[in-house]
Amino acid sequence: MAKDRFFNKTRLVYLILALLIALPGCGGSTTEKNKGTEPNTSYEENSNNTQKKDIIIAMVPKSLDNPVFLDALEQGERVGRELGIKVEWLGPMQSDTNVQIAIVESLIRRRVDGIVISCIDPAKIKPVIDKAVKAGIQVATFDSDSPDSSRLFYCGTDNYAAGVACGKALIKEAKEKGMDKQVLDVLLMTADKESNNLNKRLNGFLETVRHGGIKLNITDTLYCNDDVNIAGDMLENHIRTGNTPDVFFSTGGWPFVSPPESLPGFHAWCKNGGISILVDTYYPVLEAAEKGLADALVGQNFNKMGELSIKNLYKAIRGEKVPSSFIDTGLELGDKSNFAKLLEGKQRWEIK
Amino acid sequence: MGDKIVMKDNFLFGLFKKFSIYSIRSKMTICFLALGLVPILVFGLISDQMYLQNLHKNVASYSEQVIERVDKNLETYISDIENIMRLRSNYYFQQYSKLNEAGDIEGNRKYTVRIWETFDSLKQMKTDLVDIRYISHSGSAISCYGRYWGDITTEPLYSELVLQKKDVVAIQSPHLNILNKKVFSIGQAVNRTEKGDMGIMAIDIDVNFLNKICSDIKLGETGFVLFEKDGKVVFTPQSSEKHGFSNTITQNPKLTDSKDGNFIESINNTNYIITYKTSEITGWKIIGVTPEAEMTREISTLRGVFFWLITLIIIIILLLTTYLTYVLTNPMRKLRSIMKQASENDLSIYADIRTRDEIGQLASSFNKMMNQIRELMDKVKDDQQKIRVMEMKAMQELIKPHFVYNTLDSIIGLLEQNRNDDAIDIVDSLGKFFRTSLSHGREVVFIREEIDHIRSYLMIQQFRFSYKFDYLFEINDEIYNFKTVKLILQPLVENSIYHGIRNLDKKGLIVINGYLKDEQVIFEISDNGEGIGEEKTQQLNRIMAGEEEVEDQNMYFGIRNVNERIKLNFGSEYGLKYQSKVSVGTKVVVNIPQIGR
Repeated sequence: MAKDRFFNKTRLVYLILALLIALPGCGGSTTEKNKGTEPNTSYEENSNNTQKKDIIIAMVPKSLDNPVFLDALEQGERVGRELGIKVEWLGPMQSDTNVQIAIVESLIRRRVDGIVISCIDPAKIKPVIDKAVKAGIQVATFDSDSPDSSRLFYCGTDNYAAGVACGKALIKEAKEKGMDKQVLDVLLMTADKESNNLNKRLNGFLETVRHGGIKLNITDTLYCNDDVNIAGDMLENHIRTGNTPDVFFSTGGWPFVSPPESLPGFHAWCKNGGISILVDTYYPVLEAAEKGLADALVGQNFNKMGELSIKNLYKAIRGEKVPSSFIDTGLELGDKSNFAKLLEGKQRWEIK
Repeated sequence: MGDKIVMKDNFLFGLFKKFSIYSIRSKMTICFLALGLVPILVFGLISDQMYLQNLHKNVASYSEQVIERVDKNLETYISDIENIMRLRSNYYFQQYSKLNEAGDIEGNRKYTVRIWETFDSLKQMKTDLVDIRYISHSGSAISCYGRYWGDITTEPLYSELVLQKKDVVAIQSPHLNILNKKVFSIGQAVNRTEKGDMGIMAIDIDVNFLNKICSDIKLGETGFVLFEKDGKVVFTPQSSEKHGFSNTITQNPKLTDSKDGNFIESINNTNYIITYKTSEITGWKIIGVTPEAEMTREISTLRGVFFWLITLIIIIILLLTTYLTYVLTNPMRKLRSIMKQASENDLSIYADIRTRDEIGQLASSFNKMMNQIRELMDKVKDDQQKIRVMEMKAMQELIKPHFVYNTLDSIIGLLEQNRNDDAIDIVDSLGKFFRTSLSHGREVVFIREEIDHIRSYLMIQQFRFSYKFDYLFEINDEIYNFKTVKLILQPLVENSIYHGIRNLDKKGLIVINGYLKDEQVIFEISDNGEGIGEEKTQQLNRIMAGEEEVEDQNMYFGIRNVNERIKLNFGSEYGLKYQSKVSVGTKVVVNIPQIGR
């Protein structure tokens, strides 16, 4: 009994010593030397951001205004509650790598336990991921990977496979419409040039189609910057120019987040035999497809992304082994035959 | 004290003495310059001081207005922020808050997205907003950057807001926000419960906003506005940091004494006008720092203008002075040159100055004086000529041939009688007589020589006239060293002998007196001879006084010669005067001035 008390006291002393050493590093004020035109005054950081009692895992989406990530957020929060940890959701309002980097930097300063990030620009985000890892934070990616970084794992869709599935869908549609022998003019839409996941989808699609013997002529590529508000407008405006393609392929479901009624030109183009294939199967996209705006959809499972990324990162934080550096959340294939059925299984977005 | 006065007097005297050596033209130049410059300088100095005082007052007033404006801008902005924070009562916000506390993840999706959109719209509208965030009492936070967890009790705004009963705003001084951006925050309590639980809605504003509201404010070229609280710099523009004295200003005890005011402080040997006001809403002191030198630059320009104006005035005064003094002093210089020529014996000079002023009058007087000098010179020449002639005549009169023959005969007679000693005495006297008559050609001789001369003459004549008369000298010793015209006594003594004593039945006596009276040397030659009648005596005196002319120039030649030579040499007030009584004797009085001692 006395021995136990002695050890308790010893532990207490060690704990106090450890705190004395650690506290100046984690809880003190930080100062920044001004480099720009701002005044050269030292400011303290709000101390509430640095205190933590529970395990905190921060999820960093590409943007807050893209609803596709909300499934991942909500599922992540649910899992967090189950696990007794706090899940945060921090990201730029609109897709912006620099803000994303700044957010990761702030998470490093706050010494959160884990970060799950959907990378806008894999190359640009890599250094800050490495920095977080070096700082002892468990880092994983979801939805969009930064494979060259020292992140622990990537949890999301096999994006190349998603592209391959889209390519196969086009081959099928082209053959059914008797267009497989001609050179098909293709209009592409993606978020940006940098996103690793989107580029993989694009590559998978193009390579599969070419291997399938269909010749493609890419007439234009629309970059919507992950902005669901402008994607529909970009597409509708392009179709209305009269330079109509044979095929429309989008690496994400952005243009269909807008009401289908706002895309009359595109709808007419589809009715006239245009082939429309997109990645994503969330509710608005399926709803639009069901109304005739898409011929084939390849869906991602954001619920699973939220769930599996949090669960596995929690494991890693606890020192447990993560099963793989790639955690596949699977694909959901849709065509005119099952759009209605798939829609029944989805929850309507009520964000407005 | 006395020494000081003496020194001062000496100084003034020295200054005056120095001043007095300059030419009139220099003096006039100095006077004109002094008259021109002194009023300008006095006016300039007084104006300068008054302007400076006024400028200080205006600068202080302007700085106060500037600071008032900054305060108003700040208050207006904070009022706007307060209005933004009213969204805490917004339906969506309240729904979010309730569902968030209830832990309804699915049900809160709509409100979460709506809040993000609202926050983002506000950020787009007000570009200074860096973040809008709501922290619930449980620590769940939603902001423009998403959702995260914190501890509301460690939020700096919490400690201030928790003490407030009303929903007032609290201001947090500049700090780093979650993304390490420099912001200051305005917060308000949200959903305060009776238990005291509450959330906080906080809005982070870019510190550059403070720079912005100060940037269009001019306090000189390098003046600036800074903010202070509790002796610490809340915000200072970068431009102020190069001076490195923001902290020096904020720690000045004068700032803590009152809520607002102004003072002048010297920092690093530079004076700064510091004006301050305490903002009611933030509690910050808004401090305007204005380098005094920049505010007074205008006065420096004025001083420069004044300096050049003075220089120009000096040049004009110098030119005018040069011209005026030339015009004014030219006649004087001309006159001086003429006088110099005159002083060098050029008496023919004439001052040709035709002005009617004092110089003209002086020139006219000078010309008159020169005329008089010329006349006098001519007169002197005439007089000299006359003196020479008369002296010559006196000599001729003196050395009459029969006087010489008779004397020589007498000497022969003595030698025949073997009276050698007497002969020697006469010869000696005769020699002295002639020697003193010549006097090496001098016209004026010592009275001693004149007395010796007359003594020799009387000795010779006494012997020639066989001691028919005696003579007596009563000469005051004082007069021997005075001077006189030579050969004035001999003709008078000769008259006494030939016209007074020679025909007397008794022994004659000649007395020669000499004494000083009323600064004159008086000689009296008296005899006890026959005398002359009164009428003749008066006629003689009138002739001696120049009141009567003689009909014949040979008449009274001897005494007239003496009389005229005295007057020519010493002036008309000197000369001879006769007193005589028949059968009693005659006395002639000679008066001459005391000269030559």
